[in-house]
Amino acid sequence: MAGGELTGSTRYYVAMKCGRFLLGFIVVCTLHFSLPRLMPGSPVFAMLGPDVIGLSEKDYAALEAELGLHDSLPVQFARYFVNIVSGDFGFSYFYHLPVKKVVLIHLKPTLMLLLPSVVLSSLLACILGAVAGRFSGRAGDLVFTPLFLFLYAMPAFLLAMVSLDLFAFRLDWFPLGGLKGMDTGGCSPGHVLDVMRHLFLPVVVLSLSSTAAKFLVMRNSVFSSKHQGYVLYARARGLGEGRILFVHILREAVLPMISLVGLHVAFIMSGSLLVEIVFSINGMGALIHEAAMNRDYPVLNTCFLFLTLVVLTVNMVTDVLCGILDPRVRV
Amino acid sequence: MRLIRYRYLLAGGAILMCFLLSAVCAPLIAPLGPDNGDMPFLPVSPSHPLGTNDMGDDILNELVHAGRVSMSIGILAAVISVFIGGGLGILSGYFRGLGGELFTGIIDVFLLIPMLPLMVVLAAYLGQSWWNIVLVISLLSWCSTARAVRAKVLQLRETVFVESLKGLGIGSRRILWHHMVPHVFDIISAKFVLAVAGAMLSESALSFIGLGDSASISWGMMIHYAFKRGGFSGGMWWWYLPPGLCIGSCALGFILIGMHAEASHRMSRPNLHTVPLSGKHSI
Amino acid sequence: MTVTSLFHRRLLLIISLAVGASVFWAIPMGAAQIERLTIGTTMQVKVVNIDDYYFGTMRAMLTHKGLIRIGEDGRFTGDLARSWETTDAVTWTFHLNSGLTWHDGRPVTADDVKFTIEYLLAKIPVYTHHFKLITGVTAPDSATVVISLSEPNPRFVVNLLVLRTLPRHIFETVDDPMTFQGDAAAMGCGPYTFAGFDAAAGTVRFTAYDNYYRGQPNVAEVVFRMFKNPDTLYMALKKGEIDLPYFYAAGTDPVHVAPLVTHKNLVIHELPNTGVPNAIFFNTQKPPMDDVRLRKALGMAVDYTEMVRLFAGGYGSVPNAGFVPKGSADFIDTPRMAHDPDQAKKILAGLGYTDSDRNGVLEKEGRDLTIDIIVRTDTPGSRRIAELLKKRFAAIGVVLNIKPVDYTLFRQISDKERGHMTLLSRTTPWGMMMWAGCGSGYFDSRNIGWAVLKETRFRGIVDRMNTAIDPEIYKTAAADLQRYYADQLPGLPLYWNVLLQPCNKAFSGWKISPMYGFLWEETWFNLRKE
Repeated sequence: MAGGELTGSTRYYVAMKCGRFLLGFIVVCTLHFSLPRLMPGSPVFAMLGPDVIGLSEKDYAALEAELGLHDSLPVQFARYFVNIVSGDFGFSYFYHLPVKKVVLIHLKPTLMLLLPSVVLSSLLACILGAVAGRFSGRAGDLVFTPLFLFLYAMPAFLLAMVSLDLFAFRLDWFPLGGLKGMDTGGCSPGHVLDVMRHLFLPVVVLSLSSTAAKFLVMRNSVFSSKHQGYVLYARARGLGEGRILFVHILREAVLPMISLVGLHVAFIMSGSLLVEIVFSINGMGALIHEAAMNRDYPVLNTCFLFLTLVVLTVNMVTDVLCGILDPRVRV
Repeated sequence: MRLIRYRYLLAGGAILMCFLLSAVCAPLIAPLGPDNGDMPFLPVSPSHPLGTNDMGDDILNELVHAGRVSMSIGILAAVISVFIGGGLGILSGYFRGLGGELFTGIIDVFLLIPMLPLMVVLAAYLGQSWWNIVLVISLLSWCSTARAVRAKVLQLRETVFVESLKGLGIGSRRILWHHMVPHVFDIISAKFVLAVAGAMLSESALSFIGLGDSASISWGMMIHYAFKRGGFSGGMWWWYLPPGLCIGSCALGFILIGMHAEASHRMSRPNLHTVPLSGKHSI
Repeated sequence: MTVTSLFHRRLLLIISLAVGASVFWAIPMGAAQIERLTIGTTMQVKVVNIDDYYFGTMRAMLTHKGLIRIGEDGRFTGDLARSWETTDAVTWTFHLNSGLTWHDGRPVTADDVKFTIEYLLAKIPVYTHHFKLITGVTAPDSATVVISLSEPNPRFVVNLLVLRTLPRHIFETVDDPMTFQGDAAAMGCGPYTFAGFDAAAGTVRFTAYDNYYRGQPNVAEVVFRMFKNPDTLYMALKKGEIDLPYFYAAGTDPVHVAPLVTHKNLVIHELPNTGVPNAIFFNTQKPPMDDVRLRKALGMAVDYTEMVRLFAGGYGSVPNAGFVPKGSADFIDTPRMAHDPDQAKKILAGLGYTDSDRNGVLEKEGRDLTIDIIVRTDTPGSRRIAELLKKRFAAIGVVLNIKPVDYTLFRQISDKERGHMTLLSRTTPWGMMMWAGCGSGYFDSRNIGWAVLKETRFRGIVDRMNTAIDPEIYKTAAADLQRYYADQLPGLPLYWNVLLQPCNKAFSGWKISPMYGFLWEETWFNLRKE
């Protein structure tokens, strides 16, 4: 009987979860639908381009009809909802391309920035954080902790500007923006090198400005677990310092680290508009900004939906990973 | 040893004291009014220690006055954000069931509101002013406070003490005010200082892309104009670097104090995994 | 009779000029001397189709041709057309140059022109505005196009400046030109062929077309490199990565010029600007802006020398009340705008505005004199100007309430709703020419009408300009219009300027188009490099 009761409550729990998820999805979709449409200014004007034109009421209405904006909002919403459920994201008003394609075009540069910077900042944080925690109070700690905190506290766009001015303009080590040079292409080593040269500065800026949190997690957990029972026990058993550090202590830091990396991924996926502007990169940030300025509703809706899915996926993956690594979390 | 424990607090406090002093004494340090037009683009000189900008205004003067704007935006946004986050956190942690579910849903939704269009929408309905910036930042930054407060309240309400208070028939309102609020106060204050730093950074980012308020120049707006009006390409570092360093060090001051608060909070409850520095918004 | 004969004489002149020019053009110029010209720009090309605005600008400069264009002297000359004529300003006959081919080698015929006009009217919304007078197009033979209008309009050719002729054999099977993208969509008959759009590198490339009827241009390859901010663009210019910066209908902002002047590899050219770089447009239908005395008082509040100093960087001048910049075709001299706050205060006092509560702000019937101004946020210069205006207006007791809006909302307000009190914007050379010319389109409520001007006297002048077949009649009407502007002040020019065009010193032989500046066909055939 007790088992039956348990299944009942589990069923209730699952139903509750699903209900919340569905409700949340509908609320979020409504929000995504209404927020762009609450912005004053019709997409018709963005579509016409910068030339000044006196439009007659009739022309204006015809253009609105062409964009499907003449229907009442509930009708538009219903159509939007049916479309996204069936996987049809529509056409961009501005690009005249399927929105899916527009998003994919802009996702590529974002991923090219995202992956290396997540890896770089995690590596930096792990290594330097462990060092700083292990030798807390010594030179390494006293230099790195304030440094990463300061880099975190600086606006990322300023770091981008200053590094561009210094390394690309004055020293001429790196190009002034873009993702590749004018005259390279294909898969030659020269091309790969060229792309890496272009990516270097933005990746470093994005990594440095987001290392602080991970660095602190690493530093604090290494620092605090130094004095915990099992470490002392391991040391008593005669295990080497290095092994203790990497096996026991890193394990402790892994959980908050994973959630931070997850946050970082979700954070950069929305594009880092300001860094993209400074380095002339057409990523997701630039796309969302431009779509907002042009009132490109289908693109905005799709980007928001995409970001929502990214955040949800990242959360789920983080939860699962944490669950595997630390069974206590599963309860 | 004692000094080392308080080093964040001391360093942060020292930095903030400088900024607060300069903000309070702005009329003394920068006696020139907002309209002090000289020749534009003057380099560093004794009469203009940081030169003049594109409008011929003294940059040092502008810097000091902009500090007032930036810091008041940061503090005000943090107050509102902590107020919303703390309130919702306590209520949702205390009342469970449907309320709790609803709350988690609200947080999820707010975490997914994109900042840029929200800013454009609000600016259109309320006019573009620094109030909007405060509103947008606080509306989007209360979630992490709410989560931390909720976790704490969830722990508290399970304690024997609170159970017995309930058993004695003491009303929810009284329990909330007298036994919950004081206990989450340390979390809230730690979150508050971090939120100030986050809000100042968000403000600078919004200003940078041109959504700031040109009527009240903040540090972010100064960088915006330096970037858009030739300061950057002209190599006038005395124009764009000081406001950038000010944002950075002022935010650092708040972060250091926040880290001290969080660290002492962690000491009292070592098992609670808190993620530091979760208040920065990207655009 | 005299009217028509005068008109004929003018036409004859134009035709002979055009014929002469085309003979001159036919001489091949020899092989290309310059390998590549790299142009830095913040204009962002999104997709390669015929609707992308900035790609359209590049097509007009390089790959495509219209029937007519504007020459260096500001007059209309032939482009595809060798000459054109009309007797009644209703039926317009264009005679096409021979020897032009599409980039796939097929000949350009009158049929292509007819097809293009009809196609654009049917498929692309903005052309219903540009070509609204056109009732029919015929192609009696392969070298003649006849366009008929619904009413006589001697200024009709202005509207043809936006035409970029399309190859019929490509587009007749394209049902939706918006979604038709790629190389075929970029095929034209100009001196250059489209050679690729690389989004990752941010470049759009064009290479010289071997079989162009004038021979090969001097520049073998033209590359546009797109930047998302002007600062890195100017860094690239200083480093020599680009040869010149370019923005359609705008020069380099003077704030960026100062560090370039002293650069050893650069030279700054000054191009005349027939547009007004910044002006306030009053909504003349909305009280209190409907009162000319108030408009004049506000005009006296502005410190024009300060405007020139801060926003034209010294490369400008105090404007005349007649709005139309000096150097425009039909310019007449009108009184200069002058800064006179004391006189402004007197006028306002005369209008019954007093500062009874002594707060520095004037009131009438208990209400503060507050003026809203719509300002675009996409141009940082205009926000700075608005801030400055606010200070100067405050000095005469007027509150200027700045309403920053983004570009889309600006268009919604200025082009459709027209509920604004005042708005701050620039005018372009092309914009000054359209409607009846002399900027009339910006004022007339029947056109863009930012000043929502409906007055009979104004409309009378504009109608005279729009129907004047005799150039002398047009000239007197245009003079009347400028005197009207000066007298009624529906718009307040804040300063006039020149367009600053920095470029690599090694290049010379630039030709100037009033519409496109340095980048147009004549430059491609005259540019030299040391």
